[in-house]
Amino acid sequence: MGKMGNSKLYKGSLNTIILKLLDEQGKMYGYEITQKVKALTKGELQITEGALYPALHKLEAEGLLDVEVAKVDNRLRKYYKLTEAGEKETVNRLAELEEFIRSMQNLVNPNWSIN
Amino acid sequence: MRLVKQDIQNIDAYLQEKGIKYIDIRYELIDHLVSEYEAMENYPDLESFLLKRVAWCRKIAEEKRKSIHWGYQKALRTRVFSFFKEPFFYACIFLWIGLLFLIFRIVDIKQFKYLLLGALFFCVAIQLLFFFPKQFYKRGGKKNLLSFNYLFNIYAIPHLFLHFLSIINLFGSVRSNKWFWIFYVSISVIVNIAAIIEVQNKRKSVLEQYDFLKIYLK
Repeated sequence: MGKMGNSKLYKGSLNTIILKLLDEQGKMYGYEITQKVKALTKGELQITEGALYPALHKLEAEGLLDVEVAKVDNRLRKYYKLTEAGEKETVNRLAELEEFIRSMQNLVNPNWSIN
Repeated sequence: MRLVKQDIQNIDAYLQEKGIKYIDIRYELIDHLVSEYEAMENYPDLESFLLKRVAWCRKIAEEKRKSIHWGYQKALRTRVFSFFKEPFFYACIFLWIGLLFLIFRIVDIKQFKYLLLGALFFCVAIQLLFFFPKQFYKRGGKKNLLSFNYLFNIYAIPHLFLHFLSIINLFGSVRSNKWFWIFYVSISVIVNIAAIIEVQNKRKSVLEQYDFLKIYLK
């Protein structure tokens, strides 16, 4: 599959990716998340162009993310971190994603396992 | 290349000039733009860099506006549903229904309807007379906050109950049904009370954020 196809698949799971990253890292800022996602997906998910911030703002508005503002190098930096509801949601979404991957894997290659 | 304070102020002024007027979105965009620029290997001219990114910034601002609006609507919905989990709420409903039956024994259906509508108007009047002026005039600077400007959208659905009254009055059978009015006004009062609580809570957290930003943006 080409990069475009992969990118579409990743974008469908963007919220889960963000939640998982914040669960692992504790707190992160927007640019840091874009770079981390880019590195993890080997550049296949270019989320800097508009998808990341709307996703972050939506998760924040839904009460899944909390924010912390700090002054860094003459500017303000907005850090995102999981709320209690966000932590629960991360567990649920990861379980859903794992289930989805398992189902897809059963469809395309029944002998393979993610465990 | 590390950007100095003056560069950052220039970016801020540029974004304002391009219509991104809200502080609570601008400071995050500035941090992103500065981080992106500083990470570049061949530093382009700052202005041409910003020119390429301004459409993206506008898109983010617009998306944030939508997120805030729908986030507030969701918060109102959650607040209304949370009432139904409280034993105190059921005690209030019990008292409210008892009061309505008591009143209905004394007055006729027309007076009863006006009393019910009076309760609904009272809720809305509290919002208009107390909460709106308090939010609009007490601190002028908060108008620069996107999250503050959209706070009043929480009242949109609760106020719809008032607007629907004129439509309901077109239907004679519904107009004279006391059960309908009890149900309609009870639901509207619950939603309006939920809106007042939600606006107050959100207002508090937004103002805390604003005070914090004001200190740092000086």
